[in-house]
Amino acid sequence: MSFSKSKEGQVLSKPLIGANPIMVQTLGVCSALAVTVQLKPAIVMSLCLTVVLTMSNVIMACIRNFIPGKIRIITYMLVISTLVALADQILKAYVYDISKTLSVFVGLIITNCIVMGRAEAFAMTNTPKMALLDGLGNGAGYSIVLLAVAFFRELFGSGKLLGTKVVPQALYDMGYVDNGLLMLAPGAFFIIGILIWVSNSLYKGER
Amino acid sequence: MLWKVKLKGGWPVVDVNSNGYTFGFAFVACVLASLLLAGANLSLKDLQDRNVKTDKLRSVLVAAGFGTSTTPAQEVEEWFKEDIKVKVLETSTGLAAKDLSADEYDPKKHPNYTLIYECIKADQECSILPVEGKGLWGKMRGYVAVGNDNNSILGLCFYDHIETPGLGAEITEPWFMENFKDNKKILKVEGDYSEANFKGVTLLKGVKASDKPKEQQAYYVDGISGATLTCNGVTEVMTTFLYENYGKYLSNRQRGIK
Repeated sequence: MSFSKSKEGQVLSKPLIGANPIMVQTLGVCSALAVTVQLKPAIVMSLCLTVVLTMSNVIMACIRNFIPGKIRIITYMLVISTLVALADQILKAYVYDISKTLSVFVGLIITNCIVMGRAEAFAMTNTPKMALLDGLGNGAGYSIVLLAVAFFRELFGSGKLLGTKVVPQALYDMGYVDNGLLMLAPGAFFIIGILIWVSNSLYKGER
Repeated sequence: MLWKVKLKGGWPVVDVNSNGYTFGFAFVACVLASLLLAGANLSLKDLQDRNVKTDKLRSVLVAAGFGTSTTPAQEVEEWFKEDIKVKVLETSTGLAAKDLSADEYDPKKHPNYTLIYECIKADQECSILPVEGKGLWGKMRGYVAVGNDNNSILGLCFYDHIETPGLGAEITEPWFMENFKDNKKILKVEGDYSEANFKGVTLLKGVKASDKPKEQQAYYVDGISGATLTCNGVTEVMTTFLYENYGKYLSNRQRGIK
């Protein structure tokens, strides 16, 4: 049995398209709107979210048998926010430049439904190893959508990619205009909607 | 006992859903988390404070065009040893405070005073003035550098803000700050520091600065789409705030009163 068919492989690969956190589970849409105006913050956010999600998943799976059912949600919050705040402190002390760009994302990560959603739906009932794979898989699934949305928004919204102009001046001279709507949150809704439509029709029978 | 203890093979079996255990778990988890965070904060505070201070001084250099966001900390310190002097300014008179030194200055205790910087290096004389304004989410703090003619803007650099990344937070991006290095002026007629003559720099919405008549371009820069409120805050800083806090100072400086 190949890795991709094994249970581990499934846990890792399913969230990429088939059970994508944004497109199928519709979690984490808030941050997909907020940080996708440009590619750079989207990349940073994707990395942060993947790290936090994986760590929280593993910790939750390790202590899953000790968490009282009545206060499990608040326990997720405690673990996630402690992790994020701790990381923020360390960044501020040792790599201040990076922390200046990251600090604004901290609040967004704590409130990101994917982290809590995966803790509740997966980590609480699985081993730490599987939770690790699930965290990585969902982090990657989230990143794919975020990067795709940011790519289209930056390209058609401001004619740039990663801050560099890519739409040639000649095109502007011919009357081409950047689409200002894509710079605003509704623009992201359209793109996410189109992505969901495309993925639904491509992978119809597979769920 | 808070919860019933049954023994199984010598180990206590605990009912994780009992009230007692729930309270106990919550208490222990909270204490552990707070200890962890408090410990991290205490042990890293010195390093963090130093970083914040250096970053603030670095933004003074960036505003004046002497450095970039990657200027190393050591080079930043060098500038403040000889070339850039700190000065306590009484904003109402625009004169240096007589009985208050920079070390004693505390923004909470001395609301009528502010700390400004003056570069005294030959051919690079300028004043670098702290500014603050209201953004969309909170205060924006930064520095504006005004050239030796006390009229032209050398640059604007924000070091502390909580604006939206990708929208309002663009105010700290090079492309935006570059706008203020392009020969911008604050006075309609040179030498007259009255309120009517004080124009400042306005951020535009919907029009480009380059579409304005040539003689007007010195007073306008392009705004940021999707960040109207942040831009309004920056305009406020570059017009009213500048006039109210530093109009007198610039006027004095122009007339040679130091």
